[in-house]
Amino acid sequence: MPTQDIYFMSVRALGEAIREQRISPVELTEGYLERCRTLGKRLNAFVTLTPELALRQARDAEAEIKAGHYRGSLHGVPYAVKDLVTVKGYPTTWGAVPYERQSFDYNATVIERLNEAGAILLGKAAMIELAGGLGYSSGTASLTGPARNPWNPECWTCGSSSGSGAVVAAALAPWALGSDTRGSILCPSSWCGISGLRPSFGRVSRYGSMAIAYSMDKLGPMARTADDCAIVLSVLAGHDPLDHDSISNSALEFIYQDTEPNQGIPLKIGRLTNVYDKVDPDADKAVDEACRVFEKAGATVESCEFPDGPFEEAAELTILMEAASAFSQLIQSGKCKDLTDPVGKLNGYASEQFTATDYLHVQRVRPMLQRTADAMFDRYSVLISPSQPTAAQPLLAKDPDDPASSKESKKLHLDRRAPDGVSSLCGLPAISVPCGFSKKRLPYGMQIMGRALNDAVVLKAARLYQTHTEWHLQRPSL
Amino acid sequence: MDDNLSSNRPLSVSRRLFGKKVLTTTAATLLAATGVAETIAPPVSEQHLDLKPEGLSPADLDEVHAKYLNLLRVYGKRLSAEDKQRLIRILTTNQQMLVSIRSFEVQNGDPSACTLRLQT
Repeated sequence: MPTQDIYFMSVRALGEAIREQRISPVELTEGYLERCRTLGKRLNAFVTLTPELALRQARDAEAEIKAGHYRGSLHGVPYAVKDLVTVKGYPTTWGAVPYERQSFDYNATVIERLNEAGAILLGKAAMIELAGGLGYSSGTASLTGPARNPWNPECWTCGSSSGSGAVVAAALAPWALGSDTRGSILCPSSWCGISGLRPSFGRVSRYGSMAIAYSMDKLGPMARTADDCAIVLSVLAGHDPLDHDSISNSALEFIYQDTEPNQGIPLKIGRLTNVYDKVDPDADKAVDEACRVFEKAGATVESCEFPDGPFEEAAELTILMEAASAFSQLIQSGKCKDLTDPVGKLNGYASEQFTATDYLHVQRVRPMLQRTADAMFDRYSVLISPSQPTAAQPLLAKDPDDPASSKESKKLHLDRRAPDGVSSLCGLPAISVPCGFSKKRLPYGMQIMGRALNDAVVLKAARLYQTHTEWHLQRPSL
Repeated sequence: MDDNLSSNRPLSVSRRLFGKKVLTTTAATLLAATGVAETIAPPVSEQHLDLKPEGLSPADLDEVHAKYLNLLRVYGKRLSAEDKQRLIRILTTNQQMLVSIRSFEVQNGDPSACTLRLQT
């Protein structure tokens, strides 16, 4: 059985070792599966393990590589997938009681692409029910209970890719696929101390994945390093005629240049200073420290403010309105009462009351907000900020701004320019990378966002940062 | 640029009370007039709703109220008194977001982000 160090290796390092036949995909898979069964259970990280499939894929990979047929960087490398992605022959529960016996007779496009790349599926990661599509008020809103944070099991991982965050942080797989409608890759990556990329809207096909908000849903990798995210994106990216919003092949293609990240034109970085009303001062300091790292690495860094605008309102309203349509059968049948979260049980009824005029108004404001956000990238290559205003919160903490859980109606509080909301609404690529720890040794994340379709510059900046820091190499005590 | 939500300017007490009164009175009137009350068990008491929405005009509160009544018309039998209170709060929050986004004016020629894309 391989030593524990192997499980914390990057995708790149594992891929090279497998290619050179220094690591056996079968032994590696057996070892990861054992961790998934034991540590994974403690952390509520999985809904379903797929050991038969994994071992079959591992044996096939091993035989092919021995025969000299190497498929590429993910060949023989295990991974996990959020349980809203369809895998033929296995349940796809969407993390929700009403769908716990649901299965589909086909693979999602991303699964097909990973199969072609020779990757090995270990299991389907836990998630917030319906990925929060009908709202939720705490991390307990899941078919499998709250996902526990490997850095402190009494803290939550954040959601909705909660299991994917726990899987990577605890080295139950070297990478996991997450989904992000409004921050569901970025927040768990931040709180779990891993690197998570939310690609540009349309970059990765969603065919075969649960829809929440058709105009905002994206899939993306969560891994140990930005380099690993880029390797995985290279496999997943590309036009898919089965996804209505898949960007065409004539759009700016994603081609990963894994050269030294400080080569080429130096990065011009904007450090956003006005995106949260309240932020943990130590999280802010961690990003300030990162600015100095960037400067030493040859980038220029300048403080800047994001323009005001109803970014968060537009994001929230779009999700509420589109989710009411996506889950209309669940709402109208009354089966939403079987959801775990008190907000999720009711929110759909309220969302059905929005009018078509309001929906279109939001969608007509949205291009203006997109232009406002885009103009920032006339001045900067990327914008950075804390990914979240705090480190991980206690497992059962309630959302203080959840309207349904408070005793009375109160003034609405929204961080209108929250960077994960802005980038989600506008379809911009963004990554969260670890950038420090709180006094309680919980990770802080830094979000790096770039212009639409320029996923490469976001990855370049993140790789530059990780070349000069070691936060991404830290491990939780498990 | 809209600043309804980011502003700390408090609404006057009389305006809030007026809004609440409008909501209470209209709810009672409409429930009785439309016969909706018969389909709702148990009836919701406005006193239990403890509705204190900030940043909403009387017209906004009317709109919240109309949506609430419609919601009860369709789903009232499924909902407990506690559910109804939660839904009032959710509808109020949704309205606050709508107020913010509606204040952002659009012109006739401003396109929608959701358009039909033709495949080639």
